[in-house]
Amino acid sequence: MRIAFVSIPRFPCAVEVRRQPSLAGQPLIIGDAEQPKRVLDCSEEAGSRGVRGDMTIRQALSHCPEATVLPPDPVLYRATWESVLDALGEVSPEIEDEDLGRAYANVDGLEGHYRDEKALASHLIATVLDAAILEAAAGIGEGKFPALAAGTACGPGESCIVPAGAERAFLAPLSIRLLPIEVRMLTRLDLLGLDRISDVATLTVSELMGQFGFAGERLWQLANGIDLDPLRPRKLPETLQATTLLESAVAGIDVMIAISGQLLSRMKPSLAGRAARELILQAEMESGRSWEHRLVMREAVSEEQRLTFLLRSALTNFPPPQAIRSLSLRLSSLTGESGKQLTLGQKQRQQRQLEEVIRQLKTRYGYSPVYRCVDVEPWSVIPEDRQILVESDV
Amino acid sequence: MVSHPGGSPDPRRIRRLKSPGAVEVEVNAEGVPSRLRLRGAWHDVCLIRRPWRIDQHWWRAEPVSRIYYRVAPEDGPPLTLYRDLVTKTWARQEY
Repeated sequence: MRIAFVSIPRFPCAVEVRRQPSLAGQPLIIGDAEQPKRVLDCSEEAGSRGVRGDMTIRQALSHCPEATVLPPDPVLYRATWESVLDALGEVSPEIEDEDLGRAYANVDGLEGHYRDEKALASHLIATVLDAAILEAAAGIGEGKFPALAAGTACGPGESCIVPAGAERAFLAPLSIRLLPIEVRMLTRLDLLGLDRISDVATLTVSELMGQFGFAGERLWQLANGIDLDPLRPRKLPETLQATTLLESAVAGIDVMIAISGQLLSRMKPSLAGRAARELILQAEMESGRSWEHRLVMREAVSEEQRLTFLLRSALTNFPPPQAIRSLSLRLSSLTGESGKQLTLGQKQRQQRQLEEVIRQLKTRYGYSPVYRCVDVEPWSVIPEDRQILVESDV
Repeated sequence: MVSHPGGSPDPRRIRRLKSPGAVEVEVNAEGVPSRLRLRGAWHDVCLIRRPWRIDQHWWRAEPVSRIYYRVAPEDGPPLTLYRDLVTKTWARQEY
């Protein structure tokens, strides 16, 4: 199968440079959102001075003290990458989203639409440029690994084609570091003095299996330009989303929890009869950058109480680092609701009656005139920061 | 920056309690409120408590710096005013 590999190396850095062109050519480090802060991505200039992913920022700065350190903007990176994937989806219906800045496309059967594969690769690069104003590299080969090797061999805006049958010769001079195998296998290959892919390709399957077990067979195939790993087209999961824009920046976790609860209430009618496997909280912070927290649940959850608890835990344990100007809640990977017997009692009946009254008022006035008073910062010396009124939604 | 997926903020959904409201105030030579305009009419007021100052959020883009005055009009219940030292405006607020 002819596969194209489209890559935008150091994607987060590329997006930051697009936003702030003066950063181009400068050593740049993007930290992650965890504590202690670690390197999420770095520019080539910082990388050439020894900065590596997963270093702490302190370690990275000791290698490259003049680097500009930026906080991450995960929502922007994901939105930009999704726009690239959508655009690539217009060229080929089967796109695999491997990671930010790395995608495979099934280009089998597209040869008739283009002069040759070089023209197809150029079209893919132009598509990415149009969609995100980012320069991509494209490689086309028979299977995912030859395509990846071809795409990695060329710089931004360039393309490389590995003709069918020429995979082994193309891969031979390349470093074994390119092989998509476990780190322990790479270390072992290093210890065996095998630096180039050709060194591995000359060994027999049984020799490699003797060293690595069943993984040795795949290693032999990869080194010989055979990659049977199928392309896994991305699925577009149904998503529910609600956003609240705030009139002024909010820093209190309790307010954020109250807002997230309200967002959840707004989604409740759309969620009816379904359950969510993934919960994503996104915020735009005071600085204009974004914050995101994803929570993948072991089992799909539909009960409001449980979802509220998860939101509360997420915001309490992983709060945004700054005051926020907007908060979005996305429920993703929706499934059918699994049956659960709930206790019927007075409280549930009263709750249902209250919800019904609120629903009627909302229909009558177009909005809910019933509010809940939520303590935000009851100790605050600023009176308006102590409590808020949250529209009681159903 | 990613554009917001939602629309404009709906102030009905979330409200602050005790939001301040603008008020017209006249001050004496010491800068203390002496007259106050309520429901279109001016009223003399007297200070019934020592003023107090709050300075908060000075580390943020929208700092809060106010001097509060508890005053009593001649013919009405006491109320709380403050002078916003950032915007140089007067406001009335439940404290």
